[in-house]
Amino acid sequence: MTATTTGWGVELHGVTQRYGDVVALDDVTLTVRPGTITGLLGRNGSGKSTLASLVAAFRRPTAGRVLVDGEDPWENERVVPGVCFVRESGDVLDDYSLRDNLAYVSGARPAFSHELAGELLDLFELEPRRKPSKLSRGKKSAFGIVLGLASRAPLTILDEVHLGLDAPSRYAFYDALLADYAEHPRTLVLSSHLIGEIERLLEDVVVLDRGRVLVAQDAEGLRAEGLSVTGPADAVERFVAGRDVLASQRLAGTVQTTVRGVLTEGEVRRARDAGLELGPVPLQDLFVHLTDPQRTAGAADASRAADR
Amino acid sequence: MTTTTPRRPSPTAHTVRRLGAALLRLAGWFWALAVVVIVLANVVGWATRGSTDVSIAVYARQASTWFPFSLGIMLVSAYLRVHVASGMTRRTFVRAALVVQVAAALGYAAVLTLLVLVERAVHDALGWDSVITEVQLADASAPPWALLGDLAVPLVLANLSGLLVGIVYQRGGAWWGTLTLPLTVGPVVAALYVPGLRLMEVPGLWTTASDAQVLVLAVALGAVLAVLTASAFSLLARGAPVAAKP
Amino acid sequence: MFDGRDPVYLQIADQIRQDVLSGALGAEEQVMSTTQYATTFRINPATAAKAFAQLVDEGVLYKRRGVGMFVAPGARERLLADARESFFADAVDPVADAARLLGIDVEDVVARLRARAAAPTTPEGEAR
Repeated sequence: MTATTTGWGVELHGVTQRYGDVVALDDVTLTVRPGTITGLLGRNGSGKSTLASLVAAFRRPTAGRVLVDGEDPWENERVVPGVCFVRESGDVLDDYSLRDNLAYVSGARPAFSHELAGELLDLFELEPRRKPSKLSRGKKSAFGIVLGLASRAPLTILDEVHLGLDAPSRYAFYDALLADYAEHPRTLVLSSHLIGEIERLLEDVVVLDRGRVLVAQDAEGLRAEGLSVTGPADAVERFVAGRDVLASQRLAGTVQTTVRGVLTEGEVRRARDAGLELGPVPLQDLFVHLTDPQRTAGAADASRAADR
Repeated sequence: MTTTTPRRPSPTAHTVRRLGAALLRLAGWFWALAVVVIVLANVVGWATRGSTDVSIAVYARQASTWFPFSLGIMLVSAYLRVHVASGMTRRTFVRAALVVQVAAALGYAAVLTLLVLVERAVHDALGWDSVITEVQLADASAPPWALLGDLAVPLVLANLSGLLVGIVYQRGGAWWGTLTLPLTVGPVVAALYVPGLRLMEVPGLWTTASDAQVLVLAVALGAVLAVLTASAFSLLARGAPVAAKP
Repeated sequence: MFDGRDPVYLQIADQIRQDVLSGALGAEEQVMSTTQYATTFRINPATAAKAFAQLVDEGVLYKRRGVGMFVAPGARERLLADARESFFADAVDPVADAARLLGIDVEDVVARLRARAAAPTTPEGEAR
């Protein structure tokens, strides 16, 4: 099957999703590159799960077009077997054993690997005879991961699945994900509001904020756009004037400001000459600043933000 | 052992097997219990009155109508979400659910008919009567096929109605689910009690037609209602969004 | 690991260059695969691949089809030559600038350099 060797891409064109009066997605246009590990980031209620639901044909958009591997996934017999969307809430048969659940899913997933499923059950210490209804939150999440990875779907979307896991299980999950991704390349979308740990796993990043796309680019590029400028207050203020200031902290006479934008070599030199220290900004911080309601709600006035 | 298969089995067949296995297990419990109750009731009748002159088995008609009805609701609420999440279309779920529910209805009708006939044979051997007091067309003198047809109509309708009630509750919530019950369950109730018109000799076609004619009429009417119920279920299920588990 | 200002792939490339320079990776020695790199350091395989591509361009690594990545013959010598070339600009000039700023006599700096170079062992690891 050629589909499992490359992974499937996703395109959204002007997609809007309303639930009654609530607009969950607002005219979203977006591409997920095939074969990437893409981070779908956003605060709670930003529309991540809704977006994934549309891509996985769990629901139909109010308006706009969703394409998975070039086709509308809704009730599409070719596409849906290759799209695996795992939600933290779980979509399993609660009163049947894990083994029964695996049998059910494996019969529906063309590329399902029993071997990988077995390895992952061992890894997460899941007993195949147990029922999902009897599992702890962490173990339930882990079983979702087992289904998600063992299905080897050309498009796999994991929604917040790592949040319920304890630290050792999370690292085991990252390792298993990378190892299987390297051996069986496919498109993986990791959706979360906590990105610190998964930051390095991502090739591309999509940031949603209140139903709109705030950022969609490669992770390396986004990281390079975040810059912290530290130094004497007046020097920092002079340097960041006119720039996209995301946040600012003052400690006595020293100010640390987070700026978005790439500096030229000349600007870097000018900053160093002015006694300013330039540093990286973790993606998680950048994300928090970008989706700060106070920043995006108002006129995002740079000077006002710098005074805070 | 190969770890990947290039093709998956037909999703409809896969789901029919899965749902069929679940229903079969529950049917086993249901009929085991039914047989015990039927035998006990016969024994009690014999012990208290010296003989049991009515068919006890046919009283299972109500239970074997409403039990699979409730299973129909369960199939929709438990399986539709998991089915779609496992990478299958609603279309194949609808097909599979219709197949297993109609098969279950015919199976229940066949088992029930068989129980009535066996009980009748036992009663005959003991010199007892087997009067049918249920509100239905086929009486104790009716041939087996008439009994089967008569029992099958409400059973098929109830099985399909269960699916419809399940999907209406899932899509419309408790308010709409309850409000539309007369429409979704009405046909089953009608199929169960329409024979009463003939028994009460209400003037009209039901009373004037021959036994065979009225049975054909009941089956035909049941078939029309069954198709309508199945179509409504199909239409609603094929557009159903799959919300997260609450 | 990999938390500096530079993109991760540049840091990986730097790491491998250092290993070649120090001799930890000898000529014709096989380098970890992108997959191994990705899983060992929990990074996206594409990031590791980007670093490798850069090193192949520079002639530090070369690819044997179907086998993996290897250290190119003469890679260490080339890197040494590059490092020597930038040594004065990167290491000595800042010392001279700092000395002037602090009012330290250049002869004192030279004396210190001589003494340091004559010391029996240089704790190389501590400098990093």
